Amino acid sequence: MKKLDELKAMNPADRKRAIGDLLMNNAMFIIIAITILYIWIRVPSFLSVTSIINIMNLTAAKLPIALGVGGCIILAGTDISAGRQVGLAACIAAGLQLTVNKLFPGLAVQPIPLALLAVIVVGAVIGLVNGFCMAQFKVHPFIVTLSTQLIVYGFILMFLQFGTNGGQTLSGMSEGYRDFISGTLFKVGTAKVPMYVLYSIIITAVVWVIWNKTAFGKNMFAVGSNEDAANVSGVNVKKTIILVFMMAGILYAITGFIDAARIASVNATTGLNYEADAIAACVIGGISFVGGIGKVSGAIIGVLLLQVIFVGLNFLSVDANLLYIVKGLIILVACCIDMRKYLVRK
Amino acid sequence: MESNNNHSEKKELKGFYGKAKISVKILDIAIVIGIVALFAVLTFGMNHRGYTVTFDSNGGTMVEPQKKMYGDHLDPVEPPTREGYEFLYWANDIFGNNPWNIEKDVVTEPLKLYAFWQQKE
Repeated sequence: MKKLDELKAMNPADRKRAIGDLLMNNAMFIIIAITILYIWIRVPSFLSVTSIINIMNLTAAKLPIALGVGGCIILAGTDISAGRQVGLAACIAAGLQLTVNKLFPGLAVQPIPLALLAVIVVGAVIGLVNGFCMAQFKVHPFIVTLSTQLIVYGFILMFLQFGTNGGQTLSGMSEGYRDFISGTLFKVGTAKVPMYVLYSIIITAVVWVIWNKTAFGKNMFAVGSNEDAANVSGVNVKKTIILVFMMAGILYAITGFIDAARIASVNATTGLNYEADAIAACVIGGISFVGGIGKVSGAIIGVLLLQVIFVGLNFLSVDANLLYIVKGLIILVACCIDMRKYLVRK
Repeated sequence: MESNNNHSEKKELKGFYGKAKISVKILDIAIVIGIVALFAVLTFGMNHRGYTVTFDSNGGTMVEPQKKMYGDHLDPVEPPTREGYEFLYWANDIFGNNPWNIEKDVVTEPLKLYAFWQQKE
Protein backbone atom coordinates (compact mmCIF):
# COMPACT_ATOMS: atom_id res chain seq x y z
CA MET A 1 0.00 0.00 0.00
CA LYS A 2 2.86 2.37 0.89
CA LYS A 3 4.45 1.76 -2.52
CA LEU A 4 1.10 2.37 -4.20
CA ASP A 5 0.76 5.71 -2.39
CA GLU A 6 4.32 6.62 -3.38
CA LEU A 7 3.45 5.75 -6.97
CA LYS A 8 0.35 7.96 -6.88
CA ALA A 9 2.36 10.87 -5.48
CA MET A 10 4.83 10.78 -8.38
CA ASN A 11 4.61 13.01 -11.44
CA PRO A 12 3.50 11.14 -14.62
CA ALA A 13 7.05 10.76 -16.05
CA ASP A 14 8.47 9.31 -12.84
CA ARG A 15 5.42 7.07 -12.41
CA LYS A 16 5.89 5.71 -15.93
CA ARG A 17 9.55 5.04 -15.20
CA ALA A 18 8.78 3.38 -11.82
CA ILE A 19 6.21 1.08 -13.44
CA GLY A 20 8.70 0.30 -16.21
CA ASP A 21 11.37 -0.55 -13.63
CA LEU A 22 8.94 -2.75 -11.71
CA LEU A 23 8.00 -4.67 -14.87
CA MET A 24 11.59 -5.01 -16.09
CA ASN A 25 13.00 -6.05 -12.71
CA ASN A 26 10.33 -8.73 -12.35
CA ALA A 27 10.25 -9.73 -16.02
CA MET A 28 11.52 -13.24 -15.34
CA PHE A 29 8.81 -13.95 -12.77
CA ILE A 30 6.16 -12.54 -15.12
CA ILE A 31 7.34 -14.76 -18.00
CA ILE A 32 7.43 -17.83 -15.78
CA ALA A 33 3.94 -17.08 -14.39
CA ILE A 34 2.54 -16.67 -17.92
CA THR A 35 4.24 -19.91 -19.04
CA ILE A 36 2.89 -21.85 -16.03
CA LEU A 37 -0.60 -20.49 -16.62
CA TYR A 38 -0.43 -21.42 -20.31
CA ILE A 39 0.79 -24.97 -19.57
CA TRP A 40 -1.90 -25.38 -16.91
CA ILE A 41 -4.63 -24.32 -19.37
CA ARG A 42 -3.30 -26.69 -22.06
CA VAL A 43 -2.72 -29.64 -19.71
CA PRO A 44 -4.77 -29.28 -16.48
CA SER A 45 -3.17 -32.41 -15.01
CA PHE A 46 0.10 -30.44 -14.89
CA LEU A 47 -0.98 -29.04 -11.53
CA SER A 48 -2.46 -32.29 -10.18
CA VAL A 49 -1.32 -33.50 -6.75
CA THR A 50 0.90 -36.18 -8.30
CA SER A 51 2.55 -33.66 -10.58
CA ILE A 52 3.07 -31.11 -7.80
CA ILE A 53 4.66 -33.79 -5.59
CA ASN A 54 6.89 -34.78 -8.51
CA ILE A 55 7.98 -31.15 -8.96
CA MET A 56 8.69 -30.87 -5.23
CA ASN A 57 10.75 -34.06 -5.30
CA LEU A 58 12.80 -32.82 -8.27
CA THR A 59 13.29 -29.47 -6.53
CA ALA A 60 14.54 -31.23 -3.40
CA ALA A 61 17.01 -33.28 -5.46
CA LYS A 62 18.46 -30.19 -7.19
CA LEU A 63 18.47 -27.85 -4.20
CA PRO A 64 21.81 -28.81 -2.57
CA ILE A 65 23.81 -28.14 -5.76
CA ALA A 66 22.01 -24.80 -6.24
CA LEU A 67 22.89 -23.77 -2.69
CA GLY A 68 26.52 -24.72 -3.32
CA VAL A 69 26.69 -22.70 -6.53
CA GLY A 70 24.76 -19.91 -4.78
CA GLY A 71 27.56 -19.50 -2.24
CA CYS A 72 30.13 -19.20 -5.05
CA ILE A 73 27.98 -16.60 -6.85
CA ILE A 74 27.61 -14.57 -3.64
CA LEU A 75 31.44 -14.40 -3.64
CA ALA A 76 31.08 -12.78 -7.09
CA GLY A 77 32.35 -16.01 -8.59
CA THR A 78 30.88 -19.15 -10.08
CA ASP A 79 31.56 -22.87 -10.24
CA ILE A 80 31.21 -24.62 -13.55
CA SER A 81 32.71 -27.84 -12.18
CA ALA A 82 29.62 -28.43 -10.01
CA GLY A 83 27.91 -30.89 -12.35
CA ARG A 84 30.99 -33.04 -12.83
CA GLN A 85 31.60 -33.06 -9.08
CA VAL A 86 28.05 -34.38 -8.66
CA GLY A 87 28.87 -37.06 -11.25
CA LEU A 88 32.07 -38.11 -9.46
CA ALA A 89 30.30 -38.29 -6.09
CA ALA A 90 27.52 -40.38 -7.66
CA CYS A 91 30.11 -42.76 -9.17
CA ILE A 92 31.93 -43.17 -5.85
CA ALA A 93 28.70 -43.66 -3.88
CA ALA A 94 27.45 -46.21 -6.41
CA GLY A 95 30.85 -47.91 -6.50
CA LEU A 96 30.68 -48.52 -2.76
CA GLN A 97 27.07 -49.68 -2.84
CA LEU A 98 27.03 -52.16 -5.74
CA THR A 99 25.72 -55.61 -4.91
CA VAL A 100 27.79 -57.14 -7.72
CA ASN A 101 30.84 -54.92 -7.85
CA LYS A 102 32.66 -54.90 -11.19
CA LEU A 103 34.70 -51.83 -10.23
CA PHE A 104 36.26 -53.45 -7.18
CA PRO A 105 35.61 -57.18 -7.66
CA GLY A 106 35.03 -58.90 -4.34
CA LEU A 107 34.26 -55.70 -2.45
CA ALA A 108 31.11 -56.08 -0.36
CA VAL A 109 28.49 -53.37 0.02
CA GLN A 110 29.98 -50.73 2.34
CA PRO A 111 28.09 -49.07 5.23
CA ILE A 112 26.06 -46.06 4.07
CA PRO A 113 27.78 -43.58 6.46
CA LEU A 114 31.16 -44.66 5.05
CA ALA A 115 30.00 -44.04 1.47
CA LEU A 116 28.59 -40.65 2.50
CA LEU A 117 31.80 -39.73 4.30
CA ALA A 118 33.88 -40.79 1.28
CA VAL A 119 31.98 -38.55 -1.14
CA ILE A 120 31.98 -35.64 1.32
CA VAL A 121 35.76 -35.89 1.73
CA VAL A 122 36.28 -36.00 -2.05
CA GLY A 123 33.90 -33.03 -2.54
CA ALA A 124 35.63 -31.03 0.19
CA VAL A 125 39.08 -31.71 -1.31
CA ILE A 126 37.99 -30.57 -4.79
CA GLY A 127 36.40 -27.49 -3.19
CA LEU A 128 39.64 -26.86 -1.32
CA VAL A 129 41.62 -26.96 -4.58
CA ASN A 130 39.14 -24.61 -6.29
CA GLY A 131 39.05 -22.21 -3.37
CA PHE A 132 42.80 -22.24 -2.78
CA CYS A 133 43.63 -21.43 -6.42
CA MET A 134 41.22 -18.51 -6.35
CA ALA A 135 42.14 -17.19 -2.91
CA GLN A 136 45.90 -17.63 -3.16
CA PHE A 137 46.64 -16.91 -6.82
CA LYS A 138 43.60 -14.72 -7.63
CA VAL A 139 42.86 -16.86 -10.68
CA HIS A 140 39.46 -16.15 -12.20
CA PRO A 141 36.81 -18.62 -10.93
CA PHE A 142 35.85 -19.49 -14.51
CA ILE A 143 39.38 -20.68 -15.35
CA VAL A 144 39.88 -22.61 -12.11
CA THR A 145 36.53 -24.39 -12.21
CA LEU A 146 36.81 -25.08 -15.95
CA SER A 147 40.08 -26.86 -15.18
CA THR A 148 38.60 -28.84 -12.31
CA GLN A 149 35.58 -29.67 -14.43
CA LEU A 150 37.79 -31.37 -17.01
CA ILE A 151 40.05 -32.99 -14.42
CA VAL A 152 37.07 -34.39 -12.52
CA TYR A 153 35.55 -35.68 -15.77
CA GLY A 154 38.81 -37.48 -16.47
CA PHE A 155 38.65 -39.05 -13.01
CA ILE A 156 35.05 -40.17 -13.65
CA LEU A 157 36.00 -41.86 -16.95
CA MET A 158 38.99 -43.57 -15.32
CA PHE A 159 36.94 -44.60 -12.29
CA LEU A 160 34.35 -46.25 -14.53
CA GLN A 161 37.15 -48.27 -16.20
CA PHE A 162 38.24 -49.79 -12.89
CA GLY A 163 38.18 -53.58 -12.47
CA THR A 164 36.15 -55.34 -15.12
CA ASN A 165 33.56 -52.57 -15.48
CA GLY A 166 34.99 -51.27 -18.77
CA GLY A 167 33.25 -47.89 -18.57
CA GLN A 168 29.76 -49.35 -18.28
CA THR A 169 26.83 -47.80 -16.43
CA LEU A 170 26.77 -48.63 -12.72
CA SER A 171 23.47 -50.15 -11.61
CA GLY A 172 22.30 -52.68 -9.06
CA MET A 173 22.95 -50.72 -5.89
CA SER A 174 22.13 -52.17 -2.47
CA GLU A 175 18.52 -52.08 -1.33
CA GLY A 176 19.53 -50.43 1.95
CA TYR A 177 21.11 -47.50 0.10
CA ARG A 178 18.17 -47.10 -2.28
CA ASP A 179 15.72 -47.23 0.63
CA PHE A 180 17.79 -44.73 2.60
CA ILE A 181 17.50 -42.22 -0.26
CA SER A 182 14.38 -43.13 -2.22
CA GLY A 183 12.37 -44.97 0.44
CA THR A 184 8.91 -43.57 1.19
CA LEU A 185 8.84 -40.71 3.68
CA PHE A 186 5.06 -40.38 3.35
CA LYS A 187 2.41 -40.53 0.66
CA VAL A 188 -0.07 -37.98 -0.61
CA GLY A 189 -2.74 -40.08 -2.32
CA THR A 190 -0.74 -42.27 -4.64
CA ALA A 191 2.16 -39.81 -4.91
CA LYS A 192 5.24 -40.79 -2.97
CA VAL A 193 7.43 -38.31 -1.13
CA PRO A 194 10.86 -39.92 -0.85
CA MET A 195 13.32 -39.73 2.03
CA TYR A 196 15.71 -37.43 0.19
CA VAL A 197 13.15 -34.61 0.45
CA LEU A 198 13.69 -34.69 4.22
CA TYR A 199 17.48 -34.65 3.76
CA SER A 200 17.17 -31.73 1.38
CA ILE A 201 15.08 -29.78 3.91
CA ILE A 202 17.68 -30.45 6.63
CA ILE A 203 20.54 -29.39 4.32
CA THR A 204 18.68 -26.21 3.35
CA ALA A 205 18.08 -25.37 7.02
CA VAL A 206 21.77 -25.90 7.82
CA VAL A 207 22.83 -23.71 4.88
CA TRP A 208 20.34 -21.01 5.98
CA VAL A 209 21.89 -20.99 9.47
CA ILE A 210 25.42 -20.86 8.01
CA TRP A 211 24.58 -18.01 5.64
CA ASN A 212 22.56 -15.94 8.10
CA LYS A 213 23.60 -16.73 11.65
CA THR A 214 27.33 -17.40 11.59
CA ALA A 215 30.38 -15.15 11.33
CA PHE A 216 31.50 -17.21 8.34
CA GLY A 217 28.22 -16.47 6.54
CA LYS A 218 28.50 -12.75 7.20
CA ASN A 219 32.12 -12.83 6.01
CA MET A 220 30.99 -14.56 2.81
CA PHE A 221 28.59 -11.71 2.02
CA ALA A 222 31.19 -9.12 3.00
CA VAL A 223 33.87 -10.65 0.73
CA GLY A 224 31.39 -10.93 -2.14
CA SER A 225 30.25 -7.36 -1.70
CA ASN A 226 33.67 -5.75 -1.47
CA GLU A 227 36.76 -7.89 -0.98
CA ASP A 228 39.09 -4.98 -0.14
CA ALA A 229 36.69 -3.49 2.41
CA ALA A 230 36.22 -6.94 3.99
CA ASN A 231 39.99 -7.34 4.21
CA VAL A 232 40.39 -3.93 5.87
CA SER A 233 37.63 -4.85 8.35
CA GLY A 234 39.65 -7.83 9.50
CA VAL A 235 37.89 -10.58 7.54
CA ASN A 236 40.19 -13.45 6.57
CA VAL A 237 39.35 -13.28 2.87
CA LYS A 238 41.43 -16.29 1.77
CA LYS A 239 39.97 -18.53 4.44
CA THR A 240 36.44 -17.39 3.60
CA ILE A 241 36.84 -18.09 -0.13
CA ILE A 242 38.34 -21.53 0.54
CA LEU A 243 35.60 -22.45 3.02
CA VAL A 244 32.81 -21.33 0.65
CA PHE A 245 34.18 -23.54 -2.12
CA MET A 246 34.68 -26.44 0.30
CA MET A 247 31.09 -26.08 1.46
CA ALA A 248 30.00 -26.01 -2.17
CA GLY A 249 32.03 -29.19 -2.86
CA ILE A 250 30.32 -30.93 0.06
CA LEU A 251 26.88 -29.86 -1.20
CA TYR A 252 27.68 -31.19 -4.71
CA ALA A 253 28.86 -34.44 -3.12
CA ILE A 254 25.57 -34.80 -1.25
CA THR A 255 23.68 -34.11 -4.49
CA GLY A 256 25.66 -36.91 -6.16
CA PHE A 257 25.09 -39.22 -3.22
CA ILE A 258 21.34 -38.63 -3.52
CA ASP A 259 21.30 -38.83 -7.33
CA ALA A 260 23.04 -42.20 -7.54
CA ALA A 261 20.24 -43.89 -5.58
CA ARG A 262 17.46 -41.65 -6.94
CA ILE A 263 18.22 -42.46 -10.58
CA ALA A 264 19.52 -45.95 -9.69
CA SER A 265 22.05 -45.90 -12.50
CA VAL A 266 25.24 -43.89 -12.82
CA ASN A 267 27.45 -43.29 -15.84
CA ALA A 268 29.82 -40.69 -17.26
CA THR A 269 26.93 -38.36 -18.13
CA THR A 270 25.55 -38.23 -14.58
CA GLY A 271 25.59 -34.61 -13.42
CA LEU A 272 26.22 -33.27 -16.92
CA ASN A 273 25.15 -29.60 -17.16
CA TYR A 274 23.72 -29.57 -13.64
CA GLU A 275 25.72 -26.41 -13.01
CA ALA A 276 23.79 -24.62 -15.77
CA ASP A 277 20.48 -25.39 -14.03
CA ALA A 278 21.93 -24.40 -10.67
CA ILE A 279 23.31 -21.09 -11.98
CA ALA A 280 20.03 -20.33 -13.75
CA ALA A 281 18.07 -21.11 -10.58
CA CYS A 282 20.28 -18.86 -8.45
CA VAL A 283 20.11 -15.90 -10.84
CA ILE A 284 16.32 -16.25 -11.19
CA GLY A 285 16.10 -16.36 -7.40
CA GLY A 286 17.97 -13.08 -7.02
CA ILE A 287 21.45 -14.36 -6.10
CA SER A 288 23.44 -11.72 -7.89
CA PHE A 289 26.63 -12.06 -9.94
CA VAL A 290 27.41 -8.58 -8.67
CA GLY A 291 28.40 -10.30 -5.43
CA GLY A 292 27.30 -10.09 -1.82
CA ILE A 293 23.59 -10.40 -2.61
CA GLY A 294 21.42 -13.49 -2.23
CA LYS A 295 19.13 -15.48 0.01
CA VAL A 296 18.55 -19.18 0.59
CA SER A 297 14.86 -18.57 -0.16
CA GLY A 298 15.92 -17.14 -3.55
CA ALA A 299 17.72 -20.37 -4.44
CA ILE A 300 14.65 -22.40 -3.39
CA ILE A 301 12.32 -20.24 -5.50
CA GLY A 302 14.72 -20.37 -8.46
CA VAL A 303 15.06 -24.16 -8.40
CA LEU A 304 11.31 -24.59 -7.92
CA LEU A 305 10.39 -22.28 -10.81
CA LEU A 306 12.88 -23.95 -13.15
CA GLN A 307 11.54 -27.40 -12.30
CA VAL A 308 7.97 -26.21 -12.82
CA ILE A 309 8.92 -24.95 -16.28
CA PHE A 310 10.84 -28.12 -17.22
CA VAL A 311 8.12 -30.47 -15.98
CA GLY A 312 5.49 -28.33 -17.68
CA LEU A 313 7.30 -28.39 -21.03
CA ASN A 314 7.67 -32.15 -20.60
CA PHE A 315 3.88 -32.38 -20.12
CA LEU A 316 3.47 -30.45 -23.36
CA SER A 317 5.80 -32.97 -25.09
CA VAL A 318 8.18 -30.20 -26.11
CA ASP A 319 11.42 -31.55 -27.57
CA ALA A 320 13.95 -32.03 -24.75
CA ASN A 321 16.70 -30.59 -26.98
CA LEU A 322 14.92 -27.23 -26.99
CA LEU A 323 15.25 -27.08 -23.21
CA TYR A 324 18.95 -26.25 -23.61
CA ILE A 325 18.06 -23.20 -25.69
CA VAL A 326 15.38 -22.25 -23.16
CA LYS A 327 17.86 -22.60 -20.27
CA GLY A 328 20.46 -20.50 -22.09
CA LEU A 329 17.97 -17.73 -22.80
CA ILE A 330 16.68 -17.83 -19.22
CA ILE A 331 20.23 -17.36 -17.88
CA LEU A 332 20.84 -14.51 -20.35
CA VAL A 333 17.62 -12.65 -19.50
CA ALA A 334 18.03 -13.30 -15.75
CA CYS A 335 21.59 -11.88 -15.85
CA CYS A 336 20.43 -8.79 -17.77
CA ILE A 337 17.73 -8.24 -15.14
CA ASP A 338 20.32 -8.78 -12.40
CA MET A 339 22.64 -6.15 -13.96
CA ARG A 340 19.73 -3.78 -14.46
CA LYS A 341 18.68 -4.00 -10.81
CA TYR A 342 22.24 -3.16 -9.75
CA LEU A 343 22.56 -0.21 -12.13
CA VAL A 344 19.17 1.26 -11.17
CA ARG A 345 20.11 1.04 -7.47
CA LYS A 346 23.53 2.61 -8.12
CA MET B 1 9.66 11.97 -5.57
CA GLU B 2 12.24 13.16 -8.05
CA SER B 3 14.10 10.49 -9.95
CA ASN B 4 17.79 11.13 -10.54
CA ASN B 5 18.30 7.97 -12.60
CA ASN B 6 19.32 8.50 -16.18
CA HIS B 7 18.65 5.20 -17.92
CA SER B 8 20.72 6.17 -20.97
CA GLU B 9 23.87 6.83 -18.96
CA LYS B 10 26.48 4.06 -19.05
CA LYS B 11 27.46 2.85 -15.58
CA GLU B 12 30.13 0.47 -14.39
CA LEU B 13 29.25 -2.98 -13.15
CA LYS B 14 31.20 -5.03 -10.63
CA GLY B 15 31.59 -8.56 -9.34
CA PHE B 16 31.51 -11.42 -11.84
CA TYR B 17 30.35 -9.03 -14.55
CA GLY B 18 33.76 -7.33 -14.36
CA LYS B 19 34.01 -3.61 -14.98
CA ALA B 20 31.79 -3.59 -18.04
CA LYS B 21 30.05 -0.29 -18.72
CA ILE B 22 26.49 -0.52 -19.89
CA SER B 23 23.33 1.55 -19.67
CA VAL B 24 19.96 0.53 -18.31
CA LYS B 25 18.43 1.35 -21.68
CA ILE B 26 20.65 -1.17 -23.48
CA LEU B 27 19.84 -3.78 -20.86
CA ASP B 28 16.13 -3.10 -21.34
CA ILE B 29 16.54 -3.75 -25.06
CA ALA B 30 18.51 -6.95 -24.33
CA ILE B 31 15.82 -8.14 -21.89
CA VAL B 32 13.03 -7.53 -24.42
CA ILE B 33 15.01 -9.30 -27.19
CA GLY B 34 15.72 -12.21 -24.82
CA ILE B 35 12.04 -12.53 -23.88
CA VAL B 36 10.95 -12.40 -27.53
CA ALA B 37 13.55 -15.10 -28.38
CA LEU B 38 12.36 -17.20 -25.44
CA PHE B 39 8.75 -17.06 -26.59
CA ALA B 40 9.81 -17.74 -30.19
CA VAL B 41 11.65 -20.90 -29.07
CA LEU B 42 8.68 -22.01 -26.97
CA THR B 43 6.31 -21.36 -29.88
CA PHE B 44 8.57 -23.40 -32.17
CA GLY B 45 8.57 -26.15 -29.55
CA MET B 46 4.77 -26.07 -29.34
CA ASN B 47 4.48 -26.36 -33.12
CA HIS B 48 6.80 -29.38 -33.20
CA ARG B 49 5.50 -31.26 -30.20
CA GLY B 50 5.81 -34.96 -29.64
CA TYR B 51 8.35 -37.53 -28.57
CA THR B 52 9.82 -39.92 -31.09
CA VAL B 53 9.87 -43.56 -30.07
CA THR B 54 12.38 -45.61 -32.03
CA PHE B 55 12.83 -49.36 -32.09
CA ASP B 56 16.17 -51.16 -32.22
CA SER B 57 15.25 -54.67 -33.27
CA ASN B 58 18.75 -56.02 -32.55
CA GLY B 59 19.15 -57.83 -35.87
CA GLY B 60 15.43 -58.45 -36.39
CA THR B 61 13.05 -56.96 -38.95
CA MET B 62 12.70 -53.20 -38.88
CA VAL B 63 9.96 -51.56 -36.80
CA GLU B 64 8.72 -48.10 -37.81
CA PRO B 65 9.27 -45.27 -35.28
CA GLN B 66 6.22 -43.63 -33.69
CA LYS B 67 5.61 -40.05 -32.63
CA LYS B 68 3.70 -39.76 -29.36
CA MET B 69 2.58 -37.12 -26.88
CA TYR B 70 3.32 -37.17 -23.15
CA GLY B 71 1.14 -39.80 -21.47
CA ASP B 72 0.24 -41.67 -24.70
CA HIS B 73 0.38 -45.43 -25.08
CA LEU B 74 2.29 -46.82 -28.04
CA ASP B 75 0.36 -48.11 -31.05
CA PRO B 76 0.36 -51.92 -31.21
CA VAL B 77 3.64 -53.15 -32.63
CA GLU B 78 3.96 -56.27 -34.75
CA PRO B 79 6.72 -58.32 -33.03
CA PRO B 80 9.86 -58.33 -35.20
CA THR B 81 11.22 -61.57 -36.57
CA ARG B 82 14.79 -62.84 -36.74
CA GLU B 83 16.00 -66.07 -38.27
CA GLY B 84 16.93 -68.64 -35.66
CA TYR B 85 15.61 -66.51 -32.78
CA GLU B 86 12.37 -66.10 -30.92
CA PHE B 87 11.30 -62.59 -29.91
CA LEU B 88 10.98 -62.16 -26.14
CA TYR B 89 10.18 -58.53 -25.27
CA TRP B 90 10.97 -54.84 -25.75
CA ALA B 91 13.00 -53.01 -23.11
CA ASN B 92 13.99 -49.35 -22.74
CA ASP B 93 17.60 -50.12 -21.82
CA ILE B 94 20.31 -52.02 -23.63
CA PHE B 95 20.62 -54.58 -20.84
CA GLY B 96 16.94 -55.51 -20.90
CA ASN B 97 16.44 -54.69 -17.23
CA ASN B 98 13.36 -52.53 -17.86
CA PRO B 99 10.91 -54.42 -20.08
CA TRP B 100 8.40 -52.19 -21.86
CA ASN B 101 4.75 -53.18 -21.77
CA ILE B 102 3.35 -51.87 -25.05
CA GLU B 103 -0.25 -51.90 -23.78
CA LYS B 104 0.28 -50.45 -20.31
CA ASP B 105 3.40 -48.24 -20.24
CA VAL B 106 3.07 -44.60 -21.29
CA VAL B 107 5.52 -42.36 -23.08
CA THR B 108 6.91 -39.50 -20.97
CA GLU B 109 10.08 -38.66 -22.95
CA PRO B 110 11.92 -39.54 -26.18
CA LEU B 111 12.38 -43.28 -26.11
CA LYS B 112 14.41 -46.03 -27.71
CA LEU B 113 13.21 -49.59 -27.25
CA TYR B 114 15.49 -52.59 -27.74
CA ALA B 115 14.31 -56.03 -28.83
CA PHE B 116 15.41 -59.04 -26.81
CA TRP B 117 15.65 -62.50 -28.33
CA GLN B 118 16.07 -66.11 -27.36
CA GLN B 119 17.93 -68.49 -29.65
CA LYS B 120 15.69 -71.27 -30.98
CA GLU B 121 16.61 -74.83 -29.95
